[in-house]
Amino acid sequence: MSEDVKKTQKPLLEITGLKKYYPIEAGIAKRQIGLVKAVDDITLSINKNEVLGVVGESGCGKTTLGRTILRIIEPTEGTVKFHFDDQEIDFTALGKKEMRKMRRDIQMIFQNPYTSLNPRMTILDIVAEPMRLAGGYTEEQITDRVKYLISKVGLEIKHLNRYPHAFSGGQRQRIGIARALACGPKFVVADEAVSALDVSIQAQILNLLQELKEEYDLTYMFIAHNLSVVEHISDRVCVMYLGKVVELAETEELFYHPLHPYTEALMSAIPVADPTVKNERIMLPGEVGNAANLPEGCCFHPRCRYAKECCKKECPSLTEVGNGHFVACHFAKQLSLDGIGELKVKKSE
Amino acid sequence: MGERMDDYILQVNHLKTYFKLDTGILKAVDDVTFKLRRNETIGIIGESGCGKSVTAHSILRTVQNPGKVLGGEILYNDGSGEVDLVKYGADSKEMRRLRGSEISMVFQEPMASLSPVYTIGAQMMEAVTVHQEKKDKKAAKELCMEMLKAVGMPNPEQKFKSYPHQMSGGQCQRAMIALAMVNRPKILIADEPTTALDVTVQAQITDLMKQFQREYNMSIIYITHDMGVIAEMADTIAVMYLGRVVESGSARAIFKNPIHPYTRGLLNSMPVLGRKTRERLQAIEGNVPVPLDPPEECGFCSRCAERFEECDKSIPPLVEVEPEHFVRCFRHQAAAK
Repeated sequence: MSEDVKKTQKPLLEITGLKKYYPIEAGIAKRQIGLVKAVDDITLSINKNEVLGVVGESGCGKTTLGRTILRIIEPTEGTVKFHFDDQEIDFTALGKKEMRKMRRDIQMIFQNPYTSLNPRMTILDIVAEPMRLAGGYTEEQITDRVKYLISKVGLEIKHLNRYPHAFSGGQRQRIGIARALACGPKFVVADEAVSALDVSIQAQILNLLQELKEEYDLTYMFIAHNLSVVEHISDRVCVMYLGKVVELAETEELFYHPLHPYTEALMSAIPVADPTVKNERIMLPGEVGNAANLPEGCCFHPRCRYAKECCKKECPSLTEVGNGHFVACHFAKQLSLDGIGELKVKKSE
Repeated sequence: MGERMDDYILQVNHLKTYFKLDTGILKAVDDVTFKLRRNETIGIIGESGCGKSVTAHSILRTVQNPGKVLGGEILYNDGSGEVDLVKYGADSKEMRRLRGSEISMVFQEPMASLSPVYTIGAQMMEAVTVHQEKKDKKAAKELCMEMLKAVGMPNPEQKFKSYPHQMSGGQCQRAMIALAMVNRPKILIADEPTTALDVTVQAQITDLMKQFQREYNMSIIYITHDMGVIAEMADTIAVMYLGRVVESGSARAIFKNPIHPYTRGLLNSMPVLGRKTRERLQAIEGNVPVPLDPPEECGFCSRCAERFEECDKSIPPLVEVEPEHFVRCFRHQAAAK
């Protein structure tokens, strides 16, 4: 895509100041004694036909972010805007009825294929359900489309009347994908879509997701904690820590030239599948902080090895350092951090 | 250095563990063979349902009904002589003595494997006192505290009195390791100890296990499906598929010169960091079959791209194709000859 086109074309999805806070209540009077800031002021956009990877440790708010965008969880604050064709839709301002209508354009693939399919419904009914809910299809059209989708995701049409328990994890995930595609969505949130699968099956599903993306012009938000998987599938990657985006850049840029100390530590923790390399890891002390009781200043400072006085007081905001590379760190320009390139060199020395 | 049988702390030969179900015989472990040297780590790798965990439980003789160890040998040599664990009853005095003291295990889901109704301290104390001849609670507590500190548990005094639900996943796994290590075992079986944890915590836990291995001269059986972790942890690797070891050898041989089509498939299907291309992954076709009354054929033949006539006629034997490198595949055995 040339620069001019990029500028004129609006991003498919624009998230501005999205927040999701959960109150912590105590006593019979449900007195509010605190807030869990699960998603804390996130602003980002996803372009058409792009795969945005979202990574971070458990509890960092990746899943909440995905669900808040689709309003499976109602956001506390902020807006989510979609640009379909030339139409701008403020998804957060829609009423219930209109939101339901919009749901056919935005779909989700869930993490656990064992719990996200209703065990009492046949595969036909599971995949048909979104179309029946959306309305406007005849039963014949629905059956035809289900048959088409099921064979598209690599299952056999003769299995349509079976129940989910008759399928393996990988096959169930394929059913979940077929269901997400049923209404012809434009945007799909894949929340840890391959995490529960074995390596050989994971590769099949990743390939399938890529094929479908090309065929149907899909845009994905790909949430995962496995960095190699995210690197493989994403065009841009966003790193989250305690409800905030700490770094956002194009995949290669982020993996080779990380600017946030947390990203650097994540990279060095990835085990390398080569017994001849010696790994020199950056050990992050302790564990992810408590989202109910965020540390003052930069929320990463208690674990950061570069932290200075000012990090304890002031929270850095996400700023662009050039070329679409955003980072939230006071010392982004001073630090020279190691990406996977340097780590590999170091390891083999 | 000449090879002595004493070098091996554990030798598993042709182990068979079957589950008799109403629908047939499930051959969860069907001819598993591997050797574990002293102070070394063997990685057992395979996908879910390949029998990795059942192999571990067979060694400890804790296979749940209706599963039974029906054949083969598990030769354990603590330095004073060789004993065959298969010959002992699962509830025998000998197994009870070994289990949890000389051979112990770290389980997959730390949250689910610790008892929710006892404190960490109580669970550790039980593990110590059950193996003491004269009960000495004071000494036992000292040992437990020492271990909790050694695993890097923050605030060990307080955690000793905590229940599992009061701790994070990483802390629970540290507690599990402390529990497994408290009697200074000679063999530690780790069944996917980091699968449920984040990469940064995973790095902490694997480093901790390596550190203990050096300090206490312990051998580790590390079970996982993560090729990356295994490359960092293991000295030797056994690749399992459908209840059988299909390839085994040094970690270097398995990664640099994989021979079995399944091993190569596994390595190719992983996304590799820094490859810079968005090209397709080479996935292995199909799904892992269920080993319920399996036919007499190579278990992998239904998914193998290199199969030929012989593959579905009999089960290939595990053959040494180069020193210390074993492969169970007709095609590549023929090629090696």
